[in-house]
Amino acid sequence: MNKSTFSLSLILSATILLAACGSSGPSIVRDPNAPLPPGARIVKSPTGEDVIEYDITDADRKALESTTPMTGASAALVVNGLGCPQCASNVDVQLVRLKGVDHADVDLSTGVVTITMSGGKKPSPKDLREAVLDAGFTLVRVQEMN
Amino acid sequence: MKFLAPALLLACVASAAHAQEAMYTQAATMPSPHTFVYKPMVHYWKFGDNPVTGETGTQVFETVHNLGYGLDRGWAAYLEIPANIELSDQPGGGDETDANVESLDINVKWRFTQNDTGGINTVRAALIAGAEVNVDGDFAVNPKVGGVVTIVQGRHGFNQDLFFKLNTDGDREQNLGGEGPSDAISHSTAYVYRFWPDAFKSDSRGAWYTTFEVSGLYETNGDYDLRWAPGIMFEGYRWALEFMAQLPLYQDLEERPELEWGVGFGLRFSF
Repeated sequence: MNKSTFSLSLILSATILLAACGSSGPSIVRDPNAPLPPGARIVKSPTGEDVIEYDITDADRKALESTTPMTGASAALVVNGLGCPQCASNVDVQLVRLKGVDHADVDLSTGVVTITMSGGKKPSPKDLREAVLDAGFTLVRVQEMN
Repeated sequence: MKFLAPALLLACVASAAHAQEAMYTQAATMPSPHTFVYKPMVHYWKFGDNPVTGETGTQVFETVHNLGYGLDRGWAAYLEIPANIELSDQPGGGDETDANVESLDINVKWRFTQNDTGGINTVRAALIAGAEVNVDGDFAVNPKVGGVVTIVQGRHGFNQDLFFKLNTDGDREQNLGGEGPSDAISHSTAYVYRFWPDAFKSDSRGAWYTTFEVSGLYETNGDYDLRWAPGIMFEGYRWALEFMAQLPLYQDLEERPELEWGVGFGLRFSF
């Protein structure tokens, strides 16, 4: 390796490290001004960031086993593992493939995916859980609305 | 511009893609079932003296078309077609140009574990097996196997991969890394940091990341080199782009030329 390449390496390393460390102070993963969804709380992650977590009960888990089609016009899905914008895109593609799901809107600040539904046959919570698993993520709660 | 217009058009109509993946390191992410991911990439590398051929320098321009398809939950198949142009400075002066599609890379990825511990946080791991199929000259199949672990904690993402490639053929004179008759073990570590936005908002549809990768290649002839790659990546809701530089960290090479520097540019869509 010649001197100029080595120097360039050092300069670029320093730049990247400065960029990474430049935003000193508490890193906030979620928007602090966004209202918290029901059952949500803020906790510190191992990397010191404020992250949102949900209190998931046994009843929530059991509800995801249900094969009874939902009846409401929309539902809020709490999804774990949505770490990036393209992850969100993966989820909505799988959800709208389900019969009865018209639209899926992902809120990365809360990890909540809101789906709107119509038609005679709507998906069951288990259908939704399987679709989210297909997308590569974990559905931890479904809350039917309307 | 001829290339940019169709790329932007594709970006507008494309949908899901896998993410948190830097350019030179694998990730335990994949397209969901029955979706495609298309990653076109362009690379440039400049190498120094070749101890085998005596060439005084080599430049490589490479385009890579990588197509992934989600087979089932946790399973995906990938086909990669690299095409390159090599410009070599000859020992006696003058240069030589060689353009070809040397091989097809076919792989299957299986994500065997996944633990989504929070809204953003996840730990997942995948095994990858496949082969590099030589289509230039003598037909040959070089099998390879490896694995990758991905960890995302808030704004921080880590990927670590490790591969072994059994070379059933290979040409000492054409070897720029892992292409010779010796078998190869490669490893790569990527750190991905989301620097914008600090916090996702309800309407967030994109994020900027800095990436930092360290990649090593050991060949059973004793050659070993370590490279690092700083980069920047933008992930939109339905597409991504990345730009990386690649520079040498450590090189102990007797059977192939040393890397001087390289750059890469890539896009990512799925449909």
